[in-house]
Amino acid sequence: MQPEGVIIGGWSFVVAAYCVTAAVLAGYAWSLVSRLNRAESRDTPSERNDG
Amino acid sequence: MARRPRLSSLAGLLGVALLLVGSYIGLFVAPPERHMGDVMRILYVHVPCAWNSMLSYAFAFVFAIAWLVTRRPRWDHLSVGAVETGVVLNVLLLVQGMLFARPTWGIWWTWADVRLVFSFLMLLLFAGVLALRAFVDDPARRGTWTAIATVTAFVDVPLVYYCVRWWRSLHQMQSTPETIDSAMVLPMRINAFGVLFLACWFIAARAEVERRRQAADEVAEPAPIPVAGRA
Repeated sequence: MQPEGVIIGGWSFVVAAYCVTAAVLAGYAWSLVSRLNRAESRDTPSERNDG
Repeated sequence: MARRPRLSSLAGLLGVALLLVGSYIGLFVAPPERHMGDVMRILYVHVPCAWNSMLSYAFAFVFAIAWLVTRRPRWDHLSVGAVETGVVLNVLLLVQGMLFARPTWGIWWTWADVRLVFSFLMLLLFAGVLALRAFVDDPARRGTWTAIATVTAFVDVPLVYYCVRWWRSLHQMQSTPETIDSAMVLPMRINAFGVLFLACWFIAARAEVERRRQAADEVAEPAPIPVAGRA
């Protein structure tokens, strides 16, 4: 007999949450690395000073 | 000559490692919750993202103040990095929250809950800060406008955190290690630090992208050279 007030299952929601988290974090990390590499390829000698 | 890895890169790698360990413990080792069952495992990523989203916005607030006081470009770059990182984590916490809400509350979303509304408003405000930057070309004016916008948007962050205490909400009150089973505290803490270290790398990397972009803009538009008139 299923106890009242207890959620049974729901693993599909758990898997979806972890997959979305991994995808978004990995996607953002990849976009940052891409932008950094692109900026590095444009780097010029005058780019030395930082405010 | 090989480049030494930056401290922020090491922090990022440590963050990924902690997230893998924390997620493994959260998914396969920690016990199911008494009422929520296995759905509770979503909170092991949802709560760390929420905490670090608000923390990133707090960093952005501090960096924005530092820019307004010192006008050093470094603070503007860091502020952009912190706002963008906060927005990414804010999007995550809303999506994770919806995936948690459906099986537990029976709904994906409701406009009748203060925390949901304030969290969504927080996303709109800080996304607006990023959009504002696209409309200003002058770096100094862009830094000032976005710093003021960041300080203004930050008003919503304590509202998101404390609203469950001040108003009725579907969300439960903030939990403490004293009220949570120790087997559940461990994956929560590990993932919280994992997201924190990863966020530090995000902020540093995005700040570097901004610094290089502004340096490239300065090279592309050099200051005009004065030309002497004819005698």
